Amino acid sequence: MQKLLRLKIENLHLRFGDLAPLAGVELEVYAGEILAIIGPNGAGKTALLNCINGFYKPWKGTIIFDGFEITCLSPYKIAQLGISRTFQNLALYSGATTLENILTGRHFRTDENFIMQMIWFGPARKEEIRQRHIVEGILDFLEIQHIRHIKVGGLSYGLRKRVELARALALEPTLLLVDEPMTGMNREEKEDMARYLIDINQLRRIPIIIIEHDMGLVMDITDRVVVLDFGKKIAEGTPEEIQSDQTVIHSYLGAAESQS
Amino acid sequence: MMLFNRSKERNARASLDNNSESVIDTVPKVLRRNNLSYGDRIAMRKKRLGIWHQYTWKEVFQHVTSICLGFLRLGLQKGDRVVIIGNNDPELFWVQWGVQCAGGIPICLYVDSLPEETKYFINNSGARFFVGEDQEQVDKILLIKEDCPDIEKVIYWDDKGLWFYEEGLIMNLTQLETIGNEESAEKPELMDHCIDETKGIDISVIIYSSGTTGLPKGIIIPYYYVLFYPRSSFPIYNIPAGSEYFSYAPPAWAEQTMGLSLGPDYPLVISFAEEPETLQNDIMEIAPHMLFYQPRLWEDLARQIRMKIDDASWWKRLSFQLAIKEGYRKLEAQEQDKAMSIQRKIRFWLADRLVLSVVRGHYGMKRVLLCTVGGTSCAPSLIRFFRALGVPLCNAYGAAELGMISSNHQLETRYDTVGKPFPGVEIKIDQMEVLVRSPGMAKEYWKNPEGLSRKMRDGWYCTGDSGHLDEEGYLVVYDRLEEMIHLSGGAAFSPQFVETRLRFSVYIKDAIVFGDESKPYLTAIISLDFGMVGKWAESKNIPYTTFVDLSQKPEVISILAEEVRAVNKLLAEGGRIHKFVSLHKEFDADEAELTRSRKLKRRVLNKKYDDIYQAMYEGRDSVSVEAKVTYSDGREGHVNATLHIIEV
Repeated sequence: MQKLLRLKIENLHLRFGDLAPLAGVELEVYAGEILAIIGPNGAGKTALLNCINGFYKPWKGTIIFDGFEITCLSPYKIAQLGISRTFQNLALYSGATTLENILTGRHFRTDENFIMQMIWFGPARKEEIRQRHIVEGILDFLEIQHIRHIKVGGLSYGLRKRVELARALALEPTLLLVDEPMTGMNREEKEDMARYLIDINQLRRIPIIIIEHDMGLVMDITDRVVVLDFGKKIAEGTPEEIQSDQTVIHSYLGAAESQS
Repeated sequence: MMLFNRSKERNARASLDNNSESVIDTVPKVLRRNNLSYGDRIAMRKKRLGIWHQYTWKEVFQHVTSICLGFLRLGLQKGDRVVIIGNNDPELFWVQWGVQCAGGIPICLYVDSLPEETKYFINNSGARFFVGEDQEQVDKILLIKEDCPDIEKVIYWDDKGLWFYEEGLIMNLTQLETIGNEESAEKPELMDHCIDETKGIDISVIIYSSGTTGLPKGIIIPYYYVLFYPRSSFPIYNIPAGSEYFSYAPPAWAEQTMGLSLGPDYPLVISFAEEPETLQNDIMEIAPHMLFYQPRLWEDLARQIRMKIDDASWWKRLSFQLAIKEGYRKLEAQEQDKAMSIQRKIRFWLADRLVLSVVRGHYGMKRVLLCTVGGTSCAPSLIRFFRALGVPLCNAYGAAELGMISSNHQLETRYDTVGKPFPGVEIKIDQMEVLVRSPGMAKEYWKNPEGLSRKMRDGWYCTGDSGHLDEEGYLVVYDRLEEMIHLSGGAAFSPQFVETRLRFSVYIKDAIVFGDESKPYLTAIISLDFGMVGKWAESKNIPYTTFVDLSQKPEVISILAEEVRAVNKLLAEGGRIHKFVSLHKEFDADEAELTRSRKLKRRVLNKKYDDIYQAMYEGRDSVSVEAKVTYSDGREGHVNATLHIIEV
């Protein structure tokens, strides 16, 4: 059965002066899959995500999401279309509580009326309760009820990563980009995070693009893997195919081994 | 708050109990009475998605009916066993009550039971049904399914992560309730008939002893046992019906024999935490009227309170110290049965209003009318600390085979005792051993009918505890008879007695004390409280990396030595601790060092730490250990450490 194409990237080039982080990347994401992007440091993985959600304007190439070209749209418009993400080095409001952080993710999904919100009356109040209910569902889903009213700045790294994922989910995304969700986590936290990602993917039917360095995990939870090196796609396939791919072993796994 | 007129309430209960044609002698009958008489009163509260949801007795009875009839439809026969694993939840209570109404026997296990342990319990009890809370428990049973051929159906109530599991063996609780409702529509009389069938001498639950010695034994608990405690304690504690009760004790035994019968029988309002992690916050929000913690939890709480105060600003510290002093003064007046002067009364009132009640409020003890501590006995200094704080903490004494035996009440000040026996309970002391005769006693051991009669002597149950009854009729319990140890100098001591006093220290989480006839003095292995000592070290600018590192810091060792010296002052001259070691890790139930209810497993510990024990008596000044550490997920690691032996 032909799977539904959700995101298509064609011949994507990104340039900062003489530096070319992306040099002609091609990528497809299909409905319901977990796609991993791997590659050595500086291969252009995060740059690719930044292009998808509009932080970087590509020099050449097109990005098509659900039939719309989103190549040079502003990040907030892309978010409105249903692409949400988490960041490699966390971008939370550390002075706000977990609940407040997740509520910010609801921004585009809130019916608002500035005056009504100010006087906290009628529909505004009802809306706030509805929003809170949705956020509580996410808190329950990711099992972070116990930190509901705790300021994010005081949380452990693993928990902050989870809060960020919660905020990304609050947007009700139709495509989720997660950038290194498991760095700095211990094994138990990693297993939890992997389980949440699988649950999100299966229950909410959201395709996920994940950048991750833990190869064991990537091989376990993803459907397809794309390997980048020096801004180019050097391989693509199922985890098994990638593991036995000579180019990949040479450029990535091999390099990593010789480094360590 | 819904409190009811006490005397009126009691009369109403009495008339209800007498007038009804059949006596209310089983939990199902109690539930039916609640449905008829208190149907609109709140029975349960559970926080779901951040909001407290309430259930009336009518709603609860509805769920219980559906579950009961659902089980009957699945083919549950009278006397069939149902194993339940889950955290305290309304659903867990409904399932247990539903099974009881259907004539089945529920068995609750600890949530963190390993698959191997679970297999033992399932096969030992011959359970036909398994009810688990969530994916974790369902996965556990799927793992051992091959070895548990008797299990016919697995039922769960929290479907998170279970959306894509194949049907067949497993089933959602709502599905069970649906088929129960169908059954109910077909046979509306069935539920009443089932409840009428239950009798006071029927088995209500089977609980497994925590297994301090050997494999856990199943104890058969009849209904008269579970209803004995709420009914005999009712006049003593004087708790009004409609009081708030918070269910958090592990259902595996304490809650199964207490909360599950106490709640409906009084009746109380039973609240449940959102998640185990949110417990402390949820208790604070509910501010229950009664709290039953294990001694360990009270010790932890005292340590936390004192540590928090130490961390606070100077004027908060000062005001707490002044206030608690007033608390102690009032307590002393109560102990000596003296009246306080008006001035004292005002000072206490101010201290209580301005400081003590605030501290209590932080720990959910703002409205407490009764706190009890059961299990192994508690250090009197700990109880005095809480009483001074305004928390009516009472020592209670019980045994799995007997239920509750005795308890202090809120106005008694005999903390060194475990109170007077409950009405109907007889106690006598024979050669130091406590013998008990009680109307609420277990029937026998599961699959071992003679086991219990072996513990009986002329109709008295031998508890195996050493103790004595004083002239006023208060019972003092020292320790297990076999644990009383004589030193070579002739002094006798109880390791548990010394350990509980060590644990009263803010810095000590666990301790085990050694000594025997061939040894002239006591030694101890102390496991520090990583959180508390860690905080203390940070405040003193002492850098540390791991538990191992922290435990051997000279500064840490010197504060531990200080604590040991303080405990030594409470002990007889010949039976003091001379040497101790600060252990490189915490005692851990996953390594079988503690039981799941956090009691020390002495045999395991003695064997495991034999090197350290030998080294302490050989006069060496350090000992190196290489330990295998088993993590909660079953993986193993190694730790090497050199432990200093400290002389005090």
